[in-house]
Parts: sequence; C-alpha cells; structure tokens
Amino acid sequence: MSETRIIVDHLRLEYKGPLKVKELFKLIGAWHKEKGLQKKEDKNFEQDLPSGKSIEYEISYWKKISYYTRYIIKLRALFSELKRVQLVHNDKRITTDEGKVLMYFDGIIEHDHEHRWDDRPLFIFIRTLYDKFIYKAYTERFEQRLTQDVHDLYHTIESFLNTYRYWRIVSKVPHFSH
Amino acid sequence: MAEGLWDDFAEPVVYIRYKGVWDMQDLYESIAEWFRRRKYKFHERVYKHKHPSPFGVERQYIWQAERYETEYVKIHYDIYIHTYDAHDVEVAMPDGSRKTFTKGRIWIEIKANLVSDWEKRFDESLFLTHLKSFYNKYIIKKNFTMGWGPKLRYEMYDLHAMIKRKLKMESEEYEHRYFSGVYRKY
Repeated sequence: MSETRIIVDHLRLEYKGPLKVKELFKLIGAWHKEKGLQKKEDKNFEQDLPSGKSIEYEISYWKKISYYTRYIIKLRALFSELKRVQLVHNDKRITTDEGKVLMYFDGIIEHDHEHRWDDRPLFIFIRTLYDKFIYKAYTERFEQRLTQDVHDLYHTIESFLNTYRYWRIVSKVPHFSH
Repeated sequence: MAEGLWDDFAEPVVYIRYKGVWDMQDLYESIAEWFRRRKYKFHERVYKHKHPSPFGVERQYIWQAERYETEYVKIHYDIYIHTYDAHDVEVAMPDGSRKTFTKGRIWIEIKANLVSDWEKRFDESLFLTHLKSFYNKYIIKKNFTMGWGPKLRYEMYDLHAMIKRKLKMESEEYEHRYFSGVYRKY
C-alpha cells in the first residue's frame, strides 16, 4: 500500500445566507482547471425536500507531482435548506438561492502511488528511510505546496461567498428601496 | 490476476443520487445519443420493472457500451440506473404545454475502464501473459497514463455532467465541456 499522510485536516468553512450554488460549482471547477488538477467525484447527491434542496458533494482533486508523489485535495460540501429567494442588489431585484453551506477541506499527500516500493517489508523500510531522511527537503516542499493550494481554494471560496454579504433579501428590505 | 502482472486501467466509479422530478424519456434518449455520437456500441443488458409498491415503481437498467480504440485497446462502460418510488407527474412547461415527467429517486453508477488485448491474443499461454504485462508496463505505459487514461476520464466526466444537466442538478457545470483539440493522437 502506498503511504498517505494528512497534511491539512478538516479545514472548515461555514456560511449561511444568499448565494448562487451553480456559480459556486462553476468557480470550483474553474479553480481546478486553472491549477491543472485531475478530479474524482466521490459523491454527488441531491434531494428536493420540503425544507429546501439538500446537496452532498464530495470531490477529490489530485495531481501527480512526480513519479513518486501525488497530492490529493478533498472537498466535502454539504448544502441544506436551499431555497429560491428574491434579493435586492444594486437596487435591482434578482432571484437567487439561499441556504446553509458547510465545507470541509482536506489535503493529503500520497507517496509511492504506483506501488513500486511496497512488495516486501525491506522495500517499505527503504522507502521510509528515503522519505524521512534522504528526500526530506523535497517531501517538505511538496507538503508546503499542498497546504498552499488547499488554502488557496479555501480563500477563493470564502471571498466568493463574501461577495453576497451585501445582498439583501426582499422581505427584509423596505419597499421603497427597490 | 497473478501478482505483479498488469491490471487494466479503470476509472473510479462515479455515482449520482437524486430525488426530485426529472424527464426519464429525455435522460434515456440523451445517454443513448451520447454514446451513439461517440461511435460506441450501446447495449441494454437488463431492464427490470418491479412490482409497484404504494410509493411507486422500481426500475433497474443495466447498460453497456464499448468502442474499439485500436486493435489492442478498447473502452468499456457499465452504467447502472435504479429508480425508486417513481411515478408519473404532469408538469406545465413555461410555454404553456404539459409534459409527463417522473417523480421519485434515482441512483446512477458509471464505470469506465480500458481493456487491453480485447482479442485475447495474449491469453493463450503464461509466457504470452507475461509478455503482455511487460509490453503494457514498460513499452506503452505512457500511452495509458497520458493518452487513453485522461481521454477516458474526461469523456466519462462529460457523460456524468450531461446526466447532471438532464436531471437539472445544481452541480451540472463541467469545466472541460468545451475541451477539444485540433489534433488528437488518442
């Protein structure tokens, strides 16, 4: 078995309020395309419930950094109570979604993903020595790069959600302001 | 498969679970059309219609599709669709017309894999099996990892995104939708 190490563990992002869910998915897709990552969609569950739409979405983005190492960014998003609402933005009425979002980000580094060094115990021992002492500088550099990418995704989504902070729901705004 | 021998390249299975209203006829036709446009041979292996429960009908579909890439490699798809509690509902379209859609729950599994030596020429003896393994592992490995592999992945996610679009799911966006090239080796 290849060796996996969790570098970023359950970075959490929570949001409640208006947002455009389709735009958010588009943003995440554009981010991964820009970074040149491959994807593996683990879960994509959507349910129309009386309380609103509920979505469970889990995706792993991965990239082979070298023949030996690859990193995986895991994103788990839970959307609940998603409803269509009318909002006021720039003194105009628009329709968008409103609900709760909970996201978890994980950064995992996987060594020896091609299983070349896991046939025999001696090989595994050599691999561990190699990772911890000989190749240490590279291993740490890969870890930093992964951490940076996970945080970049986190901040991209966070800043996207922050743009909705000044959008006001029609029912909470006086009638003369729109 | 003996230890150390080549295992054919397979993409991890992708799943869709949806509860709501969808157009089953359109979904069915769109998937068949998607394969037909890409020159796949499409087969419906199983169609099961179970005895309806008070909540609705349960149906199972098993589809397979395959395309011969070269005389050595082929792409194979397995699609499994299961609908639960499905019943017909009449929906008013924006233009005033009425259509019959399905309301219920749907579960979709998509499996895609590459099959090397689909003519089974290298299965005749142990020596040939090892020869095939050597050929795949050391001579044409990059064709798998950088050629057919990514092609299969992008194509599979294209189908996945198309199904999501037909179900009108929120995550229907596919970033590689317009992914194309002037010259493609694979």
